Amino acid sequence: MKTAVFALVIVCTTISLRVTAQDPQAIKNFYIKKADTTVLQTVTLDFAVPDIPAFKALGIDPSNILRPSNLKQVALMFSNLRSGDKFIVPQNLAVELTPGLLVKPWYTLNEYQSKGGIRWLSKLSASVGSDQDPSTGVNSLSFGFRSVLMDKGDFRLDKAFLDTAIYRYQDNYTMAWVNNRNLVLKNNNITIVQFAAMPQSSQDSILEIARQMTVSQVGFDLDNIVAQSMQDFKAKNWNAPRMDAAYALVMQSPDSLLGSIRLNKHLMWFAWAFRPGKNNRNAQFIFGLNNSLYKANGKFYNEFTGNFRFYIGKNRLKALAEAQYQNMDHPMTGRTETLYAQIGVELAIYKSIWIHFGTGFLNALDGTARSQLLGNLNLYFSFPENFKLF
Amino acid sequence: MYQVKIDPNGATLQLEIQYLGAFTASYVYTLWEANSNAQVSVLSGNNMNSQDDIYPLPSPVSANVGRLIDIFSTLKNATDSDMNGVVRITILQGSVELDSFDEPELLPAGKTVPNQVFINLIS
Repeated sequence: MKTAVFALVIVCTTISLRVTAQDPQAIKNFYIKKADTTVLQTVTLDFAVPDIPAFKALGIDPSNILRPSNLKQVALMFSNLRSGDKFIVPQNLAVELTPGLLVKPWYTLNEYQSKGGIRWLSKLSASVGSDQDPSTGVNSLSFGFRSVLMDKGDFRLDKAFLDTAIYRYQDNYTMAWVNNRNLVLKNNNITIVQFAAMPQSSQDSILEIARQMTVSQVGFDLDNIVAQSMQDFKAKNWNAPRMDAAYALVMQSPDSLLGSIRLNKHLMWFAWAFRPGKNNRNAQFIFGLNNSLYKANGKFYNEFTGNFRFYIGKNRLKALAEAQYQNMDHPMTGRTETLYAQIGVELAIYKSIWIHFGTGFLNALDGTARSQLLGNLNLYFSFPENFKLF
Repeated sequence: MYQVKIDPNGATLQLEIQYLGAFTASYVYTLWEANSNAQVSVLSGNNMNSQDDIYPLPSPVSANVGRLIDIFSTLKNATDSDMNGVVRITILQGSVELDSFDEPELLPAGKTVPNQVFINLIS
């Protein structure tokens, strides 16, 4: 079965590449995606708000992203900005900062549930990236911010779920664990005062023995059983309302000195997903905006894309209808505006490998061209980012 | 192990258990008799509702001298990202805060982290 699927993938990939090779460059972007698992379920047009906007703005995909977990590490990283008595643009800097990991939390779970400002802050992330163009020697430095403005699919807000799917197990597990700890102490003639005075490593060893006894006693491992509950929760809430936004700016310098750097580009992403009806589990609307403002020849030019999609289906078969408006200012050709509409079907043939059948129209709004049928059958595959054939 | 000095002739002692961060926590609070493996009381709870995590210690207050407060917690981060959490234990006598202890923990994504706090009450 796996061999047959693999052969089908190879054949279809060949068809896909042949079809897209005949399309204009812009269309390739619509039909070939290297998507992560989240994007995979929701995106054909580019609705995704980037996880790390600074890198997206630079067009780089660094393999070694630094994620400092305390303020000392942040200070050490940014000390690289200085060389001798001068501030420089560092080469190949890739840092993602999450305040939730840098600072000690000051709020309880109840406060997180009731205060939107706390949720917004805890999900805010910042990124910094730099890159050097080897051919021109131009250094780019980018700063980005990403935030979840609203997320009704956050399980921590669902008290009924917490009670039945987590606390129900965690409370029993904790009680059994401490009882087993006390049993181990008793069996080894260790008093609680002696245990409390032990070094941390000795306490940890006893706790691990007690944990293994607990798993045998209660018949489940807490992490595994909660992970299963989380999968069920995500499956039920895949189309829960959510709003994401991100912003990045790019600065460039002809040399490595920070003093020569100039603002070159602004980018903004916004996505709002919601379901048609509070209890609907089969459909989703997604509304996306993407705007970039870039500088060329001393003047700023704008590129704007607005997307709208309606999705309906279950599990591995989904139908969609989508539309996209795009306008692009260009120093040479001026402004072009296009409207694109498509209907399609997506089918998961094997795990996270999807086939997309779709047909769409592209209409140039300046009157120079009538609507163009872009294709009556398109095939494409979405692979997870970590997908490897060999 | 922490030590907290109490007034044996003072007002009632109270223990407050708090968890800082957006994770789930369950705990078992045991009050151990002085220099013994006998348990005075065993109570359990979680952070679903933080209002009910305040416990008065037995009276008379002088009976608590030498006793050991043992709070065993599990901190569960069921999200896909690592996060920080804090176990905060506060001892009050009447309305006066005698001491407060913060135990920070790094909570890896999807994992359960145990935490133990021991407080010896002295006069």
